[in-house]
Amino acid sequence: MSDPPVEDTAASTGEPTLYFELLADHHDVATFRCGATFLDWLLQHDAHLLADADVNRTFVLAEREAAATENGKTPIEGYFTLEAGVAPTAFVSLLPEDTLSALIAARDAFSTPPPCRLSPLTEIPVVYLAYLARDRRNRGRGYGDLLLIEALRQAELASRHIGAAGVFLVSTGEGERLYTDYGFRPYGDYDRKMFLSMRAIREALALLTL
Amino acid sequence: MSLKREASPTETKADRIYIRCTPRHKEKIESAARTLGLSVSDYLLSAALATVEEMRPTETRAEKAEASEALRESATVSTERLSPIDTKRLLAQIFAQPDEPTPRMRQAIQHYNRTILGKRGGISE
Repeated sequence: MSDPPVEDTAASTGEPTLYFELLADHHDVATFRCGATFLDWLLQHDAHLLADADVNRTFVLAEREAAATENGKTPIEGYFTLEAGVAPTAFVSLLPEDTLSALIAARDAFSTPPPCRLSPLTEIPVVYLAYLARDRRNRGRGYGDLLLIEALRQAELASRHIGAAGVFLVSTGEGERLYTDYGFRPYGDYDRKMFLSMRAIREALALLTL
Repeated sequence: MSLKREASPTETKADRIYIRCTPRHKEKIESAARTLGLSVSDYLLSAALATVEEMRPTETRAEKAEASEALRESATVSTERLSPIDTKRLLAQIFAQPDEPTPRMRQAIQHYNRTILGKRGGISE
């Protein structure tokens, strides 16, 4: 579940120096508060564990000038988590009968175990934007924008190596309108499940001044 | 392709299974079945068989034909998958030429350019 990006604001003078990096031990997960308890909890309890298990990757936004927290660590201004995922589809049901029969026969011709479950015919690979949140201290500073763009950038980088048709997420109720504003579109008959194709992401990231 | 799959001509649907559920679950199931043009019985049976397939730890060669059928049915009517109509929508999004980035997206990119890619910021690789 992804928190909505915050409304952008004009850059103010004296902006802090912001940077992204993978979540590490020197980041203080304990003091992060975004306003959604479960997103705080996920960062504090799951993020390191799941990253160690290579299940997902959590990136954090931090300020270079920030003073260390009471725990002597770097404060986290925001974070997002990416996972490999699939969009389960009925694509296979759209195939002509003879094509599907041939595919099933081909699969069954292999000795055990079956080499695949007809993927990608039943599942389309995507990058799942699992969580996105900024610390409530940063409300109104546009950090949600930064987190989303970095998430899309990391997803696009990953797609160059393993292929992913787009980014999908399950938004919160209030986030649905905002993600729509970014170009995400709802799909499926699930509540608030949204998708942005990798083509559209590349189109947007072409505007980056890398 | 028809979504409704009939039992084998050599089999008859003589046995019955009764289940109890909450009104909310019943309504959800009926709605999903209607969307797919299936009876509630066919819908529940298909979903259950698909689950049996997914939870099967090992698969003997003799069971493969049945498994293929379950796979096919699960891809067609499982509640965990998109309906064919929604799949078409998703594929259309994937293969369509992308729209221009929205004004909101452009605004976010500009903010990122200014804040992260500026002289002082940094990005992770």
